[in-house]
Amino acid sequence: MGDNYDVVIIGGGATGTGIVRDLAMRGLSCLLVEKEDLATGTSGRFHGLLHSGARYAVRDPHSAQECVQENRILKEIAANCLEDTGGYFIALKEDDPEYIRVWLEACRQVGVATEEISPSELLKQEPVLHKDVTKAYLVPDAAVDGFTLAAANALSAEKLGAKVKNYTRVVGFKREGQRITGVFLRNAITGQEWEVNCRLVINAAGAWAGQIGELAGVNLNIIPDKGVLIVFNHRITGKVLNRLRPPGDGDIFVPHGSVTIFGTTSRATHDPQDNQATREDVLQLLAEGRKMIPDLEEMRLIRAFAGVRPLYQASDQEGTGRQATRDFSLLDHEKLDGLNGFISVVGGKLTTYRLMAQAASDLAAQKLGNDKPCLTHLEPLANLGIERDKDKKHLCQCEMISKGMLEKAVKGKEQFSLSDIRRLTRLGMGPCQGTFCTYRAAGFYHELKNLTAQEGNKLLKEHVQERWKGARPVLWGGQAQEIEINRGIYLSLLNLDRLDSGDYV
Amino acid sequence: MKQYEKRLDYCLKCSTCHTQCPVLENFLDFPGPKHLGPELERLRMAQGHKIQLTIDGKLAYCTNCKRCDLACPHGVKPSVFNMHNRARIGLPLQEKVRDWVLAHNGWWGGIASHMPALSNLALHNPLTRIFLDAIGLARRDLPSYDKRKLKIGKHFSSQKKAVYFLGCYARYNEVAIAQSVINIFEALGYQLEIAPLGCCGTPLFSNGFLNEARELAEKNSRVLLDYIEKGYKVISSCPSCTLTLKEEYRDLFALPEGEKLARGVYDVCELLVEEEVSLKGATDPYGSAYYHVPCHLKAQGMGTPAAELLGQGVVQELTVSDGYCCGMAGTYGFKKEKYELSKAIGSPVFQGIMDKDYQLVLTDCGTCKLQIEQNTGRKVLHPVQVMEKLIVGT
Amino acid sequence: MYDVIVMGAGLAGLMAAAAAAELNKKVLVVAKGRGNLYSASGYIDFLGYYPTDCRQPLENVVEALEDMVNDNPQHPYALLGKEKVDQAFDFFLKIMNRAGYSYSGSWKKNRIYPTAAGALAPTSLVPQRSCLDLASYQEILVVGFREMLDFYPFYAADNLREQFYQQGEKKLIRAAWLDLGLSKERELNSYDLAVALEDEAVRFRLAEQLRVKVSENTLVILPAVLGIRKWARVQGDLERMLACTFLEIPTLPPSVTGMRLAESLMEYLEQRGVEFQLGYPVTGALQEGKKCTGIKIETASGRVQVKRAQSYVLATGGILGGGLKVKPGGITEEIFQIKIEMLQEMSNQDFFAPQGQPLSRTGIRVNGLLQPVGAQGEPLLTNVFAAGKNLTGYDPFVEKSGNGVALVSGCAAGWLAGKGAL
Repeated sequence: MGDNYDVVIIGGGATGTGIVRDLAMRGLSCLLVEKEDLATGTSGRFHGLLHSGARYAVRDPHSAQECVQENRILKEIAANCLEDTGGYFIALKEDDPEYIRVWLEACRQVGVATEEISPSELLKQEPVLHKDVTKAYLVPDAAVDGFTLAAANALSAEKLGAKVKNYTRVVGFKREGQRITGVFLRNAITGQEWEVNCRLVINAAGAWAGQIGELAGVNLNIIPDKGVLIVFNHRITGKVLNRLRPPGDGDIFVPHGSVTIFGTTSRATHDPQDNQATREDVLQLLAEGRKMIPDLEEMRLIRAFAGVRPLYQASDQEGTGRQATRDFSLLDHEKLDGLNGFISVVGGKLTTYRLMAQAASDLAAQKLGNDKPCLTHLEPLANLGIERDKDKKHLCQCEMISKGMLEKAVKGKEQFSLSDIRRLTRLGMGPCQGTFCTYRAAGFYHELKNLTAQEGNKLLKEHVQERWKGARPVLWGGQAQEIEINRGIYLSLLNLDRLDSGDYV
Repeated sequence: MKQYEKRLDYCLKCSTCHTQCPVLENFLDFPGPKHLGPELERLRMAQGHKIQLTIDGKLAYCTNCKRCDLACPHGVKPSVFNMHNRARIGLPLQEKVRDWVLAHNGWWGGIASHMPALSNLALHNPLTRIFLDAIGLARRDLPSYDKRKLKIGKHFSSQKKAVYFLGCYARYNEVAIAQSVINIFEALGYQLEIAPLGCCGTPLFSNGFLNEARELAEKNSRVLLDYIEKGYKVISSCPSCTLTLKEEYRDLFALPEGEKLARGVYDVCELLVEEEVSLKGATDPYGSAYYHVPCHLKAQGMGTPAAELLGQGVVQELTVSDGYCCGMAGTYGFKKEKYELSKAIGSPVFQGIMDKDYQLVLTDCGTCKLQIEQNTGRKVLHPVQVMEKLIVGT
Repeated sequence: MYDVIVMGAGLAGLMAAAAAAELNKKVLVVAKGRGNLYSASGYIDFLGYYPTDCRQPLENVVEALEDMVNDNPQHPYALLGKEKVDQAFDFFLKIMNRAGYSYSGSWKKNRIYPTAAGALAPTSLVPQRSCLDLASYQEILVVGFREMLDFYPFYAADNLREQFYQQGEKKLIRAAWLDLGLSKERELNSYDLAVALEDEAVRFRLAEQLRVKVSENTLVILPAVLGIRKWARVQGDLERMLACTFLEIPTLPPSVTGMRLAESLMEYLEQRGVEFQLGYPVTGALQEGKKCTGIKIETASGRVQVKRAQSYVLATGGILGGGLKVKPGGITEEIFQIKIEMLQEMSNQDFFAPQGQPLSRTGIRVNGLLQPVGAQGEPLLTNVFAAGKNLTGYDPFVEKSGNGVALVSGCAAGWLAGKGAL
């Protein structure tokens, strides 16, 4: 009849993993299922900015206030997953000076600390910036790594006995009348199916929440909104850069370790899986970004990607795209649809994931008669323990990844792709984008995990293909060259295209 | 800065530079130009990242021969990063003292040139040797100080003007080279002046004294630009000096007028070629000569002007060798822990010279010359010393 | 003043220099750095798969070349024809023999060699020392080195075993790691190991560790690490000590096999009087009408040096080599400002698409004399001959023809440039 849990959480993004940690800390038994790997959806496909709240202060003060609070909390509990860079809001000549006044006032209202710095001092700090900056303010923005954040939340929960299953898809719900009593699951790789029983299901599937809702027979109006981001080869700035104007396209630069992520765009899409960036998106972003950093087009781009914002509309009157609220919504389907044992948490943004998780967990706990308070803001997240080590032999030289790190990253994983490893270690995230290390990692894991030749080839080919996907929209300059050396290695030198890799063709 | 970031971005990790590094070929633990240069620099730029990257102390083993720069198929210059970071290596005190002594050769030279006899005596004094041992200098002959004075002809005015940047070697250690240059350019009708300047800064920055070298660069640059404004060409007989004036002031120190200065600087033979000086019809050519092309001359990308001139019939059989570094790298070969390595790096050069009974052994660089002389026992001349009598006449 | 100036020091450029030098021309090679041979296998692949979507290596190469003249007339092989191919391959074999690093094989027949992933792959010419028939070995030992992260013997062995099994061939294939106790300070690549193995003591260690694992019937497959310059000595010593046969596999860059080819060719050319000026790119050209009258090199001083010759070979490489610059708005050849045809879609979604990627296929259009031509087929330059990866009409990575096209077009360009200089 399957295992029994108090709660099954659907979705391994920041929210889902945040919930499983929260509930586990309250002593509830939980299972989290994720159809791919943790943070493969929107939590791993955004600019990596931990908002200070400044960006939303004018238009969305409630959301901004939440950011202010969560920003402080995450800097305490998730220090390992973020870099407290600080951020600048900068106004250019063409930007409306009136907006600056409004923005400053709004920041004051919601409690975002701002500190003005002179344009000349700013240029000293960030010499790549345009000379025509008129005003600049320092805010407590930071860079956050969505991959390790989700993984650290999941690990914290697992340490308290929760189960986290990746590559596990929900294919149906067990029902007794108007009550959900469990889920039917399928392993996304082997196809094996099984079921589990539970007292409550929480739908935290982000952009896919609508699809999960449909499976449960409830209607959720999720509007997938695509945002394109591009990655530069090196760290262009020390701090986050925001344009001091109403939020728009191409106005956020986030330094992420050794690279810089720049975005974003906002386009309605119909498909939560629509994460392909196009050349046009990239060129449009560059045109915008050049206004802040004039030499931008001379800097090497290494890839482009897209994420899908799971914007939620309770009714049709609300705005879409940039106008839609970044606030989150907690939906109790018992009240809304008369369906017991099922709640959804939708909308929101990564910065406030913990708050979303708390809200969902509070409701869940209440429904299950658990009176323990939320403690997630007090305890630091578990340490993944995959930091750079002392081993001087680097399998991935761009990001200095050793064998030991790869060994730790794969610990306890039955099924994995090199992408899963990459998200935890940064393997293949540097300038060569896996040109050298994909082969090395495949050879290494083939032996470590006793894979067959076919499995090893699959690991290798999938990752080459995955990196290719990101490189396609930026195929010029250095990355066009890198792709040629990449093709030279994988096709000419290794003849990989003629090796059998099972179902991967 | 912008320039060097751009180049950093174009490292494709092909490791071609790695295969051309003479240090690495003889010292397997040396991480090589790709790793020390663009690879680590990119990670260092991620300041504040979770683990602070320290500068690998092995960087001190880089000879700054720039063969990596020339090898890169994509225009990356690993040596620029290496020289920048050279200043940030934490060295033991003893090595620091020793490096300070070596880096300030111009300073020592200045003192010594006032009392060359005494200085040379001091150089060969056993007490000096004990001191040098203690601070980690290799047990090898140090260049002695030259007491001869330069003879400059009477000043005359000419359309053709050159200012001669002597450099430490020609100024303090082998005045004869400087004299040949002076004689040649005077014979060619140049209004020649000696630049009132000392060291170019190479020994400073290659020993990690970057700030001091920058000050010197700024001063030198100011003086030389004044000359350039007045229509002078800057010449030097030392390849390291010309390379530094051309490239390092512009790229390493990013001096605002670095480009302008660079365009006014000439290697002496480079200017002779540009002047279309003919050495044809030498009545008494040398039978054979081995010409070692110094790394810093090769790095200037102008070909080998001295060989072009000598090949006009001055030497019947000229062997031009630019495939190997001699290993001296200025002050590098004077360091105790690098001495053996320095000899190993240079061994193909020494072998090449000793394989055959060359009538002449030539090179433009003073320290290459020391290295070759000490390891082959052959007397080495600067090419201008051979050309002088053909241009000046007797 | 030179007879021929070659721009580019990859295989195409070096072959062009060799061909022109063979005609006793005064040749200068100018390149911004060392060519991409240091990243290439050092094998010469003429045409491994044609059409490119076939699973099996091409059997009848001569016939495929004839087909190509009709199917794919812009392909450099089709433009140059069988006779030039024959001449170029003969010439290559001849000069490599003179250079002391002999190759063997023929363009007409694909030979099968394992890659570093253990895939069986077709190639045409291999260094003499690697010339053997895999089929005649029943017992194979694939060897890797613990200090080196660029080769995985068990992975390669598994793939080899799988493919031989599918072909119905039974072989005993084993794998082993060796540890030569070299640097603990960093990971080593094949170049580093090759340097280390030039030391007799290290060689001896290798032999000692292998001794218990091999017999005289064993074929030892290992990454290309058997010496850089002293390769003959290194391999000879090991074969004497162990009595087995060694086969080196080209590895990820830096490629020792590619480097040996590059350096033996360059050394040979220097002996033939070819001059080299490497390290600074050619930044532009002087032109009078359709004639190139000089090329410009910006040296360290920032001053421009002009070098002149009767004819010029443009072998600056494709996108990787930097001969073709890809910008968001288009692709250009920057020395002569030749515009390259821009394609609507530069890439396929599938990295492994058998038809290849349009991006890799772009390049300069030339006529049968390798002169760059305009839209109507009219020559744009009469004394400039293009060769190598900057040519359009082929994707070397799927048809496995990279070094082959470089070799054939490089030789042809060198001859044409040399003869033009008569």
